[in-house]
Amino acid sequence: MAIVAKNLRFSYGNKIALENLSFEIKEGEFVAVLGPNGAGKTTLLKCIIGILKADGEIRVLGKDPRKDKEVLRFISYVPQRSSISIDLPITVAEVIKMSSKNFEEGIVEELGIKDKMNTLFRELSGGLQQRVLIARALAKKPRIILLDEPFNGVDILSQEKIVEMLEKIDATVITVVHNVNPVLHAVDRVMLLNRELIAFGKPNEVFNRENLLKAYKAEIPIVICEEGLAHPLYGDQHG
Amino acid sequence: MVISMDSFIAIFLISLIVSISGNLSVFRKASFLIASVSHSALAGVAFSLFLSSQGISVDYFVVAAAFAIAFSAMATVFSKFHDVDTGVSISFALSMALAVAFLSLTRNLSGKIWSFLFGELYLITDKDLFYLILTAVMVLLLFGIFYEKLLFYLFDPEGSEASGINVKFLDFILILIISLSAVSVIRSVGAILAYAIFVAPAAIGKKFARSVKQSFIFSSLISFSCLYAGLLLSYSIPISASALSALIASALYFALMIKKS
Repeated sequence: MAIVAKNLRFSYGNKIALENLSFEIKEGEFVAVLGPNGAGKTTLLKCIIGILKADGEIRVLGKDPRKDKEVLRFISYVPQRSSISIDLPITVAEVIKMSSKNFEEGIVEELGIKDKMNTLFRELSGGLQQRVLIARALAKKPRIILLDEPFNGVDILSQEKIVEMLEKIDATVITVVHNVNPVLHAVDRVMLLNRELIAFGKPNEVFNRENLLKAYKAEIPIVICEEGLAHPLYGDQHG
Repeated sequence: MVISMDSFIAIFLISLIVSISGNLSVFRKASFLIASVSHSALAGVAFSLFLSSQGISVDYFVVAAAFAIAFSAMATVFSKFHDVDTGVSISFALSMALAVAFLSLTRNLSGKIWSFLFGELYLITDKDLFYLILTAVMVLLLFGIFYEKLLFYLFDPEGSEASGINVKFLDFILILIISLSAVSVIRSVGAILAYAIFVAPAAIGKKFARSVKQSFIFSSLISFSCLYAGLLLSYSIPISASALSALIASALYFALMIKKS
Protein backbone atom coordinates (compact mmCIF):
# COMPACT_ATOMS: atom_id res chain seq x y z
CA MET A 1 0.00 0.00 0.00
CA ALA A 2 1.17 3.52 -0.75
CA ILE A 3 -0.96 5.17 1.93
CA VAL A 4 -3.06 3.79 4.76
CA ALA A 5 -5.02 6.15 7.01
CA LYS A 6 -7.19 5.14 9.96
CA ASN A 7 -9.36 7.54 11.92
CA LEU A 8 -7.30 10.51 10.83
CA ARG A 9 -8.25 13.71 12.62
CA PHE A 10 -6.84 17.20 12.44
CA SER A 11 -7.97 20.55 13.88
CA TYR A 12 -6.75 24.12 13.52
CA GLY A 13 -7.35 25.22 17.10
CA ASN A 14 -11.04 24.54 17.72
CA LYS A 15 -11.86 24.22 14.05
CA ILE A 16 -11.99 20.64 12.89
CA ALA A 17 -10.45 20.25 9.43
CA LEU A 18 -10.54 16.46 9.13
CA GLU A 19 -12.29 13.82 11.18
CA ASN A 20 -12.50 10.04 11.20
CA LEU A 21 -10.85 9.76 7.85
CA SER A 22 -9.97 6.20 6.90
CA PHE A 23 -8.81 5.07 3.47
CA GLU A 24 -6.22 3.06 1.60
CA ILE A 25 -4.44 3.97 -1.62
CA LYS A 26 -2.54 1.32 -3.56
CA GLU A 27 0.87 1.90 -5.14
CA GLY A 28 0.52 3.21 -8.68
CA GLU A 29 -3.03 4.48 -8.22
CA PHE A 30 -4.11 7.87 -9.60
CA VAL A 31 -6.50 9.53 -7.16
CA ALA A 32 -8.26 12.89 -7.35
CA VAL A 33 -9.35 14.50 -4.07
CA LEU A 34 -12.15 17.01 -4.28
CA GLY A 35 -14.62 18.86 -2.14
CA PRO A 36 -15.74 22.41 -1.39
CA ASN A 37 -13.48 25.14 -0.02
CA GLY A 38 -12.45 24.32 3.54
CA ALA A 39 -13.17 20.61 3.06
CA GLY A 40 -9.70 19.69 4.28
CA LYS A 41 -8.18 18.72 0.92
CA THR A 42 -4.89 20.61 1.35
CA THR A 43 -4.83 19.65 5.03
CA LEU A 44 -5.03 16.00 4.00
CA LEU A 45 -2.01 16.35 1.69
CA LYS A 46 -0.04 18.07 4.46
CA CYS A 47 -0.98 15.29 6.90
CA ILE A 48 0.23 12.70 4.39
CA ILE A 49 3.67 14.32 4.24
CA GLY A 50 3.74 14.98 7.96
CA ILE A 51 3.96 18.80 7.78
CA LEU A 52 0.76 18.74 9.83
CA LYS A 53 0.66 16.20 12.64
CA ALA A 54 -2.73 14.55 12.52
CA ASP A 55 -4.18 12.32 15.22
CA GLY A 56 -4.95 8.75 14.28
CA GLU A 57 -2.93 6.34 12.23
CA ILE A 58 -1.16 7.12 8.99
CA ARG A 59 1.31 5.01 7.07
CA VAL A 60 3.02 6.20 3.92
CA LEU A 61 5.01 3.47 2.17
CA GLY A 62 4.81 1.64 5.47
CA LYS A 63 6.30 4.50 7.52
CA ASP A 64 4.78 7.11 9.79
CA PRO A 65 5.55 10.47 8.11
CA ARG A 66 5.09 12.31 11.41
CA LYS A 67 8.13 10.54 12.83
CA ASP A 68 10.10 9.20 9.90
CA LYS A 69 11.26 12.02 7.63
CA GLU A 70 13.23 9.54 5.49
CA VAL A 71 10.01 8.64 3.71
CA LEU A 72 9.95 12.16 2.23
CA ARG A 73 12.78 11.10 -0.08
CA PHE A 74 10.21 9.09 -2.02
CA ILE A 75 7.51 11.77 -2.10
CA SER A 76 7.17 14.89 -4.23
CA TYR A 77 4.79 17.64 -3.28
CA VAL A 78 3.59 20.31 -5.67
CA PRO A 79 2.00 23.10 -3.63
CA GLN A 80 -0.46 25.66 -4.91
CA ARG A 81 1.30 28.24 -7.06
CA SER A 82 0.00 31.00 -4.77
CA SER A 83 2.35 29.79 -2.01
CA ILE A 84 5.42 30.22 -4.21
CA SER A 85 7.58 33.36 -4.36
CA ILE A 86 7.11 33.79 -8.08
CA ASP A 87 8.99 37.10 -8.29
CA LEU A 88 12.42 35.67 -7.42
CA PRO A 89 14.92 36.05 -10.30
CA ILE A 90 15.23 32.29 -10.62
CA THR A 91 15.60 30.36 -13.86
CA VAL A 92 13.61 27.28 -14.83
CA ALA A 93 16.78 25.15 -14.62
CA GLU A 94 17.45 26.40 -11.07
CA VAL A 95 13.89 25.50 -10.05
CA ILE A 96 14.07 21.96 -11.41
CA LYS A 97 17.52 21.35 -9.92
CA MET A 98 16.12 22.08 -6.46
CA SER A 99 14.88 18.50 -6.28
CA SER A 100 17.52 16.74 -8.36
CA LYS A 101 20.70 17.97 -10.00
CA ASN A 102 20.78 15.12 -12.52
CA PHE A 103 17.26 15.07 -13.83
CA GLU A 104 16.30 13.25 -17.03
CA GLU A 105 15.99 15.58 -20.00
CA GLY A 106 12.99 13.55 -21.18
CA ILE A 107 10.87 15.06 -18.42
CA VAL A 108 11.36 18.65 -19.58
CA GLU A 109 11.02 17.57 -23.20
CA GLU A 110 7.70 15.82 -22.62
CA LEU A 111 6.37 18.73 -20.62
CA GLY A 112 7.34 21.08 -23.46
CA ILE A 113 9.69 23.27 -21.42
CA LYS A 114 13.08 22.18 -22.77
CA ASP A 115 13.64 25.50 -24.55
CA LYS A 116 12.72 27.45 -21.40
CA MET A 117 15.53 26.23 -19.17
CA ASN A 118 17.32 29.60 -19.06
CA THR A 119 14.11 31.64 -18.89
CA LEU A 120 13.17 33.28 -15.61
CA PHE A 121 10.36 31.40 -13.87
CA ARG A 122 8.52 34.68 -13.24
CA GLU A 123 8.40 35.40 -16.99
CA LEU A 124 6.46 32.21 -17.79
CA SER A 125 2.68 31.93 -18.11
CA GLY A 126 0.76 30.25 -15.28
CA GLY A 127 0.47 27.05 -17.32
CA LEU A 128 4.20 26.87 -18.03
CA GLN A 129 5.04 27.67 -14.40
CA GLN A 130 2.89 24.74 -13.34
CA ARG A 131 4.64 22.47 -15.84
CA VAL A 132 8.00 23.52 -14.37
CA LEU A 133 6.80 22.69 -10.86
CA ILE A 134 5.61 19.27 -12.09
CA ALA A 135 8.99 18.73 -13.79
CA ARG A 136 10.73 19.59 -10.51
CA ALA A 137 8.52 17.08 -8.69
CA LEU A 138 9.19 14.34 -11.26
CA ALA A 139 12.94 15.01 -11.43
CA LYS A 140 13.20 13.38 -8.02
CA LYS A 141 11.68 10.14 -9.42
CA PRO A 142 9.16 9.93 -6.58
CA ARG A 143 7.11 6.88 -5.64
CA ILE A 144 4.29 9.18 -4.57
CA ILE A 145 3.46 12.57 -6.04
CA LEU A 146 1.01 14.89 -4.30
CA LEU A 147 -0.38 17.89 -6.15
CA ASP A 148 -2.44 20.73 -4.73
CA GLU A 149 -4.75 22.35 -7.28
CA PRO A 150 -2.36 21.91 -10.23
CA PHE A 151 -4.90 23.18 -12.77
CA ASN A 152 -5.70 26.53 -11.15
CA GLY A 153 -5.07 29.32 -13.65
CA VAL A 154 -3.67 26.82 -16.14
CA ASP A 155 -4.62 26.84 -19.83
CA ILE A 156 -6.12 23.79 -21.57
CA LEU A 157 -2.88 22.87 -23.38
CA SER A 158 -0.91 22.82 -20.14
CA GLN A 159 -3.69 20.89 -18.40
CA GLU A 160 -3.50 18.22 -21.10
CA LYS A 161 0.32 18.04 -20.94
CA ILE A 162 0.23 17.69 -17.16
CA VAL A 163 -2.47 15.00 -17.15
CA GLU A 164 -0.68 13.11 -19.92
CA MET A 165 2.53 13.15 -17.90
CA LEU A 166 0.85 12.14 -14.64
CA GLU A 167 -0.85 9.21 -16.38
CA LYS A 168 2.45 8.04 -17.79
CA ILE A 169 4.67 8.09 -14.70
CA ASP A 170 5.32 5.07 -12.56
CA ALA A 171 4.15 6.53 -9.25
CA THR A 172 1.13 6.91 -7.03
CA VAL A 173 -0.52 10.22 -7.92
CA ILE A 174 -2.82 12.08 -5.54
CA THR A 175 -4.09 15.39 -6.78
CA VAL A 176 -6.34 17.87 -5.07
CA VAL A 177 -8.65 19.48 -7.59
CA HIS A 178 -11.33 22.09 -7.44
CA ASN A 179 -12.68 20.96 -10.79
CA VAL A 180 -12.21 17.25 -11.39
CA ASN A 181 -13.10 17.27 -15.09
CA PRO A 182 -9.61 17.90 -16.60
CA VAL A 183 -8.33 14.81 -14.83
CA LEU A 184 -11.43 12.61 -14.65
CA HIS A 185 -10.57 10.35 -17.58
CA ALA A 186 -7.12 9.64 -16.16
CA VAL A 187 -7.91 8.87 -12.52
CA ASP A 188 -8.53 5.45 -11.03
CA ARG A 189 -10.57 6.72 -8.10
CA VAL A 190 -11.91 9.97 -6.69
CA MET A 191 -12.16 10.94 -3.03
CA LEU A 192 -15.01 13.26 -2.11
CA LEU A 193 -14.29 15.13 1.10
CA ASN A 194 -16.00 17.58 3.33
CA ARG A 195 -13.98 17.33 6.53
CA GLU A 196 -15.07 13.68 6.61
CA LEU A 197 -14.95 11.14 3.84
CA ILE A 198 -18.16 11.39 1.81
CA ALA A 199 -17.24 8.82 -0.83
CA PHE A 200 -14.16 7.15 -2.27
CA GLY A 201 -14.31 5.03 -5.38
CA LYS A 202 -14.57 5.04 -9.15
CA PRO A 203 -15.96 8.30 -10.58
CA ASN A 204 -19.32 6.79 -11.48
CA GLU A 205 -19.73 5.36 -7.97
CA VAL A 206 -18.88 8.67 -6.30
CA PHE A 207 -20.63 11.22 -8.50
CA ASN A 208 -24.29 10.90 -7.70
CA ARG A 209 -26.79 13.47 -6.50
CA GLU A 210 -26.72 12.31 -2.89
CA ASN A 211 -22.91 12.40 -2.47
CA LEU A 212 -22.52 15.73 -4.21
CA LEU A 213 -25.32 17.27 -2.16
CA LYS A 214 -23.70 15.98 1.03
CA ALA A 215 -20.30 17.37 0.05
CA TYR A 216 -21.25 20.71 -1.51
CA LYS A 217 -24.60 21.39 0.22
CA ALA A 218 -25.90 22.35 -3.21
CA GLU A 219 -27.37 20.68 -6.26
CA ILE A 220 -24.58 19.93 -8.71
CA PRO A 221 -25.72 18.81 -12.15
CA ILE A 222 -24.14 15.64 -13.47
CA VAL A 223 -23.64 14.84 -17.14
CA ILE A 224 -22.55 11.55 -18.63
CA CYS A 225 -19.92 11.88 -21.33
CA GLU A 226 -19.58 9.74 -24.48
CA GLU A 227 -17.31 7.37 -22.60
CA GLY A 228 -19.97 6.86 -19.95
CA LEU A 229 -18.22 8.80 -17.19
CA ALA A 230 -20.23 10.95 -14.78
CA HIS A 231 -18.98 14.57 -14.78
CA PRO A 232 -20.13 16.97 -12.07
CA LEU A 233 -20.72 20.45 -13.51
CA TYR A 234 -19.58 23.12 -11.11
CA GLY A 235 -20.63 26.76 -10.99
CA ASP A 236 -17.54 27.91 -12.85
CA GLN A 237 -18.55 25.85 -15.87
CA HIS A 238 -22.16 26.91 -16.27
CA GLY A 239 -22.21 30.14 -14.28
CA MET B 1 40.92 63.42 -1.19
CA VAL B 2 42.20 59.87 -0.75
CA ILE B 3 40.14 57.12 0.75
CA SER B 4 42.12 55.16 3.34
CA MET B 5 42.83 51.49 2.73
CA ASP B 6 40.86 50.62 5.89
CA SER B 7 37.78 52.47 4.61
CA PHE B 8 38.15 50.85 1.18
CA ILE B 9 38.37 47.36 2.69
CA ALA B 10 35.44 48.18 4.98
CA ILE B 11 33.30 49.28 2.03
CA PHE B 12 34.20 46.11 0.14
CA LEU B 13 33.27 43.89 3.11
CA ILE B 14 30.07 45.82 3.83
CA SER B 15 29.02 45.42 0.18
CA LEU B 16 29.46 41.65 0.41
CA ILE B 17 27.61 41.40 3.71
CA VAL B 18 24.68 43.65 2.80
CA SER B 19 24.28 41.98 -0.58
CA ILE B 20 23.74 38.59 1.03
CA SER B 21 21.54 39.79 3.90
CA GLY B 22 19.66 42.34 1.81
CA ASN B 23 18.79 39.81 -0.87
CA LEU B 24 17.79 37.15 1.65
CA SER B 25 15.46 39.53 3.46
CA VAL B 26 13.99 40.88 0.21
CA PHE B 27 13.48 37.32 -1.10
CA ARG B 28 11.89 36.41 2.22
CA LYS B 29 9.56 39.42 1.78
CA ALA B 30 10.70 40.64 5.18
CA SER B 31 12.93 43.58 4.27
CA PHE B 32 11.58 45.57 7.23
CA LEU B 33 13.30 42.98 9.40
CA ILE B 34 16.59 44.71 8.54
CA ALA B 35 15.37 47.97 10.11
CA SER B 36 14.09 46.12 13.15
CA VAL B 37 17.32 44.17 13.61
CA SER B 38 19.48 47.32 13.21
CA HIS B 39 17.46 49.06 15.90
CA SER B 40 17.60 46.10 18.25
CA ALA B 41 21.37 46.14 17.76
CA LEU B 42 21.18 49.79 18.74
CA ALA B 43 19.37 48.78 21.92
CA GLY B 44 22.25 46.37 22.55
CA VAL B 45 24.77 49.18 22.07
CA ALA B 46 22.75 51.39 24.46
CA PHE B 47 22.76 48.55 27.00
CA SER B 48 26.54 48.13 26.66
CA LEU B 49 26.94 51.90 27.18
CA PHE B 50 24.72 51.68 30.24
CA LEU B 51 26.86 48.84 31.62
CA SER B 52 30.02 50.86 30.91
CA SER B 53 28.55 53.80 32.84
CA GLN B 54 28.12 51.41 35.75
CA GLY B 55 31.75 50.39 35.54
CA ILE B 56 31.09 47.09 33.76
CA SER B 57 33.09 46.89 30.58
CA VAL B 58 31.54 44.82 27.78
CA ASP B 59 32.15 44.63 24.07
CA TYR B 60 29.40 46.49 22.18
CA PHE B 61 29.51 43.97 19.28
CA VAL B 62 28.75 40.95 21.46
CA VAL B 63 25.87 42.66 23.28
CA ALA B 64 24.46 44.16 20.06
CA ALA B 65 24.65 40.76 18.32
CA ALA B 66 22.86 39.08 21.25
CA PHE B 67 20.13 41.75 21.18
CA ALA B 68 19.77 41.54 17.39
CA ILE B 69 19.43 37.74 17.37
CA ALA B 70 17.04 37.72 20.33
CA PHE B 71 14.82 40.46 18.90
CA SER B 72 14.67 39.02 15.39
CA ALA B 73 13.79 35.62 16.86
CA MET B 74 11.09 37.41 18.86
CA ALA B 75 9.83 39.12 15.70
CA THR B 76 9.55 35.73 14.02
CA VAL B 77 7.56 34.39 16.97
CA PHE B 78 5.30 37.50 17.01
CA SER B 79 4.75 37.00 13.27
CA LYS B 80 2.99 33.70 13.98
CA PHE B 81 0.24 35.57 15.87
CA HIS B 82 -0.53 38.07 13.10
CA ASP B 83 1.78 38.57 10.13
CA VAL B 84 5.43 39.35 9.48
CA ASP B 85 4.86 43.13 9.35
CA THR B 86 3.07 43.23 12.69
CA GLY B 87 5.59 40.94 14.37
CA VAL B 88 8.56 42.92 13.11
CA SER B 89 6.94 46.27 13.98
CA ILE B 90 6.27 45.24 17.57
CA SER B 91 9.80 43.93 17.95
CA PHE B 92 11.08 47.21 16.41
CA ALA B 93 9.04 49.33 18.87
CA LEU B 94 10.17 47.25 21.83
CA SER B 95 13.84 47.50 20.91
CA MET B 96 13.63 51.27 20.38
CA ALA B 97 11.87 51.70 23.73
CA LEU B 98 14.66 49.73 25.39
CA ALA B 99 17.34 51.76 23.58
CA VAL B 100 15.80 55.01 24.84
CA ALA B 101 15.38 53.57 28.34
CA PHE B 102 19.03 52.46 28.57
CA LEU B 103 20.24 55.81 27.22
CA SER B 104 18.09 57.67 29.76
CA LEU B 105 19.78 55.68 32.51
CA THR B 106 23.25 56.23 31.07
CA ARG B 107 25.19 59.28 32.14
CA ASN B 108 28.15 60.85 30.34
CA LEU B 109 28.38 58.13 27.69
CA SER B 110 25.01 58.61 25.96
CA GLY B 111 26.60 60.97 23.38
CA LYS B 112 28.51 57.97 22.01
CA ILE B 113 25.29 56.53 20.64
CA TRP B 114 25.29 59.08 17.80
CA SER B 115 28.03 57.29 15.91
CA PHE B 116 25.94 54.10 16.05
CA LEU B 117 22.82 55.93 14.90
CA PHE B 118 24.32 57.51 11.78
CA GLY B 119 27.63 55.69 11.31
CA GLU B 120 31.16 56.90 10.69
CA LEU B 121 32.35 55.35 7.46
CA TYR B 122 35.58 57.35 7.42
CA LEU B 123 36.45 56.62 11.04
CA ILE B 124 36.78 52.86 10.81
CA THR B 125 38.94 51.48 13.63
CA ASP B 126 40.97 48.28 13.56
CA LYS B 127 38.42 46.73 15.87
CA ASP B 128 35.52 47.64 13.55
CA LEU B 129 37.45 46.19 10.64
CA PHE B 130 38.10 43.02 12.59
CA TYR B 131 34.37 42.65 13.28
CA LEU B 132 33.59 43.26 9.63
CA ILE B 133 36.06 40.57 8.53
CA LEU B 134 34.74 38.16 11.16
CA THR B 135 31.14 38.79 10.09
CA ALA B 136 31.94 38.52 6.39
CA VAL B 137 33.60 35.14 6.96
CA MET B 138 30.71 33.85 9.06
CA VAL B 139 28.03 35.17 6.71
CA LEU B 140 29.81 33.78 3.64
CA LEU B 141 30.28 30.41 5.34
CA LEU B 142 26.65 30.14 6.43
CA PHE B 143 25.45 31.35 3.07
CA GLY B 144 27.72 28.92 1.20
CA ILE B 145 26.73 25.95 3.32
CA PHE B 146 22.98 26.59 3.19
CA TYR B 147 22.69 28.34 -0.20
CA GLU B 148 20.71 25.63 -2.00
CA LYS B 149 18.38 24.92 0.90
CA LEU B 150 17.83 28.64 1.50
CA LEU B 151 17.00 29.17 -2.15
CA PHE B 152 14.50 26.28 -2.14
CA TYR B 153 12.95 27.58 1.08
CA LEU B 154 12.71 31.19 -0.11
CA PHE B 155 11.17 30.15 -3.42
CA ASP B 156 8.82 27.50 -2.11
CA PRO B 157 8.49 27.28 1.70
CA GLU B 158 5.89 24.49 1.63
CA GLY B 159 7.64 22.45 -1.03
CA SER B 160 10.96 22.67 0.78
CA GLU B 161 9.39 21.56 4.04
CA ALA B 162 7.70 18.69 2.22
CA SER B 163 11.05 17.59 0.86
CA GLY B 164 12.35 17.15 4.39
CA ILE B 165 14.18 20.46 4.84
CA ASN B 166 14.06 21.74 8.42
CA VAL B 167 12.53 25.14 7.70
CA LYS B 168 12.57 26.29 11.32
CA PHE B 169 16.32 25.77 11.41
CA LEU B 170 16.69 27.59 8.08
CA ASP B 171 14.68 30.51 9.45
CA PHE B 172 17.13 30.62 12.35
CA ILE B 173 20.07 30.65 9.93
CA LEU B 174 18.40 33.51 8.05
CA ILE B 175 17.93 35.43 11.27
CA LEU B 176 21.53 34.75 12.26
CA ILE B 177 22.88 36.00 8.92
CA ILE B 178 20.71 39.14 8.96
CA SER B 179 21.42 39.90 12.63
CA LEU B 180 25.20 39.52 12.36
CA SER B 181 25.21 41.62 9.20
CA ALA B 182 23.17 44.42 10.75
CA VAL B 183 25.39 44.52 13.83
CA SER B 184 28.62 44.52 11.82
CA VAL B 185 27.68 47.63 9.82
CA ILE B 186 26.14 49.60 12.67
CA ARG B 187 29.42 51.48 13.36
CA SER B 188 30.12 52.31 9.74
CA VAL B 189 26.66 52.88 8.24
CA GLY B 190 24.55 53.47 11.34
CA ALA B 191 21.35 51.82 12.57
CA ILE B 192 19.03 54.34 10.95
CA LEU B 193 20.62 54.34 7.49
CA ALA B 194 21.50 50.65 7.30
CA TYR B 195 18.05 49.92 5.91
CA ALA B 196 18.72 51.85 2.70
CA ILE B 197 22.09 50.20 2.09
CA PHE B 198 20.71 46.71 2.71
CA VAL B 199 17.38 46.92 0.93
CA ALA B 200 17.64 49.35 -2.00
CA PRO B 201 20.53 47.55 -3.82
CA ALA B 202 18.92 44.14 -3.17
CA ALA B 203 15.56 45.35 -4.50
CA ILE B 204 17.27 46.69 -7.64
CA GLY B 205 19.20 43.43 -8.06
CA LYS B 206 16.06 41.34 -7.70
CA LYS B 207 14.25 43.42 -10.30
CA PHE B 208 16.95 43.46 -12.97
CA ALA B 209 18.85 40.20 -12.48
CA ARG B 210 18.48 37.26 -14.84
CA SER B 211 19.41 34.74 -12.14
CA VAL B 212 19.67 34.58 -8.37
CA LYS B 213 23.47 34.72 -8.47
CA GLN B 214 23.28 37.82 -10.68
CA SER B 215 20.99 39.45 -8.12
CA PHE B 216 23.66 39.02 -5.43
CA ILE B 217 26.41 40.31 -7.74
CA PHE B 218 24.35 43.33 -8.88
CA SER B 219 23.41 44.33 -5.36
CA SER B 220 26.97 44.04 -4.03
CA LEU B 221 28.26 46.20 -6.91
CA ILE B 222 25.50 48.76 -6.30
CA SER B 223 26.20 48.83 -2.54
CA PHE B 224 29.92 49.24 -3.17
CA SER B 225 29.33 52.08 -5.65
CA CYS B 226 26.88 53.90 -3.36
CA LEU B 227 29.14 53.61 -0.30
CA TYR B 228 32.23 54.63 -2.26
CA ALA B 229 30.46 57.58 -3.87
CA GLY B 230 28.98 58.61 -0.51
CA LEU B 231 32.39 58.56 1.13
CA LEU B 232 34.03 60.49 -1.70
CA LEU B 233 31.29 63.13 -1.74
CA SER B 234 31.47 63.54 2.03
CA TYR B 235 34.93 65.09 1.59
CA SER B 236 33.45 67.97 -0.40
CA ILE B 237 29.95 68.23 1.07
CA PRO B 238 29.48 68.65 4.83
CA ILE B 239 27.09 65.71 5.07
CA SER B 240 27.91 62.35 6.65
CA ALA B 241 29.14 59.63 4.27
CA SER B 242 26.50 57.11 5.32
CA ALA B 243 23.70 59.64 4.77
CA LEU B 244 25.05 60.40 1.29
CA SER B 245 25.38 56.68 0.50
CA ALA B 246 21.82 56.05 1.64
CA LEU B 247 20.60 59.02 -0.41
CA ILE B 248 22.35 57.74 -3.53
CA ALA B 249 21.07 54.18 -3.02
CA SER B 250 17.48 55.36 -2.50
CA ALA B 251 17.60 57.80 -5.44
CA LEU B 252 19.04 55.07 -7.67
CA TYR B 253 16.26 52.70 -6.63
CA PHE B 254 13.52 55.22 -7.44
CA ALA B 255 15.13 56.25 -10.73
CA LEU B 256 15.54 52.65 -11.92
CA MET B 257 12.07 51.58 -10.82
CA ILE B 258 10.50 54.53 -12.63
CA LYS B 259 12.55 53.72 -15.74
CA LYS B 260 11.57 50.05 -15.55
CA SER B 261 7.87 50.83 -15.16
